[in-house]
Amino acid sequence: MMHLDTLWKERSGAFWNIALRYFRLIGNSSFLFTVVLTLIFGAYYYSELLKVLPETFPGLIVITAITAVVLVRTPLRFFLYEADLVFLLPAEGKLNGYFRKSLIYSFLLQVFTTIVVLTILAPLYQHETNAGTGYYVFVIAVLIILKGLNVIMKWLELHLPAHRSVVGYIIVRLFLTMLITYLLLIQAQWLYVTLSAGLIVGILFLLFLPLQKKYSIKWEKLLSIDEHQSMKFYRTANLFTDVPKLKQSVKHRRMLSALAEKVLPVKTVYATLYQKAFIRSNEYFGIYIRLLLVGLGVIAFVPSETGRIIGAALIVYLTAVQLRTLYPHYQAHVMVKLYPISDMDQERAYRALLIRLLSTQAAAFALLSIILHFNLVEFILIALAGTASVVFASLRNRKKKVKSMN
Amino acid sequence: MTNSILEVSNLTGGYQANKPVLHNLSLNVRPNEIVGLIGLNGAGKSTSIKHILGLLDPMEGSIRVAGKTFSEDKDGYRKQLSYIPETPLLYDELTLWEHLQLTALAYELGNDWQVHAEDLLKEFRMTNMKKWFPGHFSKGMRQKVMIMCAFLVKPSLYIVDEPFVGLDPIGIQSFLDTMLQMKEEGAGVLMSTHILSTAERYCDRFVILHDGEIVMSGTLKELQRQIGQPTATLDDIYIKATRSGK
Repeated sequence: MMHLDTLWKERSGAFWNIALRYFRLIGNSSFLFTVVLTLIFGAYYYSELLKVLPETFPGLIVITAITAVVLVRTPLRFFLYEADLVFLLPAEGKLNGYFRKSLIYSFLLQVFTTIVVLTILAPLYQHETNAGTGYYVFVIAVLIILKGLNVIMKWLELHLPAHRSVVGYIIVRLFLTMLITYLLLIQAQWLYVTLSAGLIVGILFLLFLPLQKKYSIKWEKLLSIDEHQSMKFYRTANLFTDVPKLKQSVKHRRMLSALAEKVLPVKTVYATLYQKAFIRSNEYFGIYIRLLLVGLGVIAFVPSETGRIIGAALIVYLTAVQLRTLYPHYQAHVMVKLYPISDMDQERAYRALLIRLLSTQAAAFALLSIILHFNLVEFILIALAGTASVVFASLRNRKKKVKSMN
Repeated sequence: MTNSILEVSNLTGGYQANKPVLHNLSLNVRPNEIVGLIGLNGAGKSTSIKHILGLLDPMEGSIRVAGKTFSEDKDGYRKQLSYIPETPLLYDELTLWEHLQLTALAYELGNDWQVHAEDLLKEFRMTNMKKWFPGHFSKGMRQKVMIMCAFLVKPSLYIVDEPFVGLDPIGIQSFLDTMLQMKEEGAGVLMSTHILSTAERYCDRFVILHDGEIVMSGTLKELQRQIGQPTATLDDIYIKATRSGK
């Protein structure tokens, strides 16, 4: 039997079951190692940075801004399914407990991030003022309460119908959160802190609470928020392993798409499909650009010549690995199987696109290196290493194909 | 019978070798003809269509389109037919116009395809949505995209699976008109549907499928004669055939 009381527990349990499995996969990959390494480097540079920070640096304002973003940005998680629009809608009145649990859950998760961010900011705060650790812990405690208020306010905001703008409410929330945070940080007089706290509670009652009475729950909005949240998770996991649940999100990218049609006209079915998929779907284009930027960063900032050459080749290869999921993008599509086109079309189109993209990357790396370092030998070596990567990547894909066909 | 555009003879098929879904199926579609494929849910209509499309291989028997089997000439076979599926199958990354463009590319249509495409867009009242992504369309509008893509190809054989569900009345009429026009121009149509009143008016012949076997086939007149009720509607015939024919 299914009960509304236990529904939330079942739903969140189901999500965490899947999530934990992905976490294990992520943990097994080299990801954790990278995170630890980044943390160590980050901590080192952070302390170095604090030493050389000029007197005029507006530390408290920076802390206020970062904290405000963390407190005001309040992603909620409801564990709703699309079918709930049909099945749970009639039970809306009995779902108060369900939504309360969702809010508490979201709150607790965000308490965690709040504490992490504020802990990272602690050295900066100590550097800026002479308040003791005890006071800072107190500040964190108050900010957690403020986080709770933000969760409630965000929930009430979600009741707003589509024709009423939410912007005003967010600005009010942002302003009050920043005000209280700043007053706390500068250790303002109690009177001011109490007054502004009274203000936020007053506004909660006068401006936000009436929304719940006036408007109904916006199911579709909640669903899209939920989907956005879980897709964010799955997309991250997808970097480490294949996530079948990942839904396609498509962006129009009119300019880019038109430009691609002009510059690189396509003549076959698969060439068209791959080009459009690369530009519009999922994160292919985003991943490509990000890796391109990382590579350009490597060329610009890595001090050793060998490091730059290996780095460039590695980035080209990494890009090829990331683009591998593009190949089976249309595997499950029936229409494409009905077209009177050659079986070789797919293979050829994919390889052509891959070689084009990777070569562009390698060329960009080589060009930047000669502009910055004026070294012809290095230019040639980077170009060669990049080409080797391209060849290696496209050959590897073919080998894998053959294997999977047998 | 040699002039059939689609010729299914003694087809036995399905998904698992030891569990065939279709038994000894024979049917044909001639040019200038619309044949209604009728059967209950699970009768084997979609499986038959998959076989005809070449997505499943026959276990026994053969399927010929314009005289050739799928294995004899894959591309030639595919070029002869276009398919309107029951559930619209669209590309998330392509706009409506790009769907038509891709179809033209896949079937190597001549340069005048754009004129034809514009006409279809007008007929199905979709001109304004040319640049939209059909992913967000309603079921009916998505179905129209599939219908337009199929008609754009102007093949000699149309395989149509339950085209009416979700279409608005004007869309249904446009579809039927265009289909009749294609028939006049010499195409053959195999159409599976549950909307029997419409099928009765538009199909020249019927094939009634039950549990993977053909229980009755022929024109409405022939079917009426077979059950001995000269005024029976297709609904009556269908119910009678599937109840007694088990």
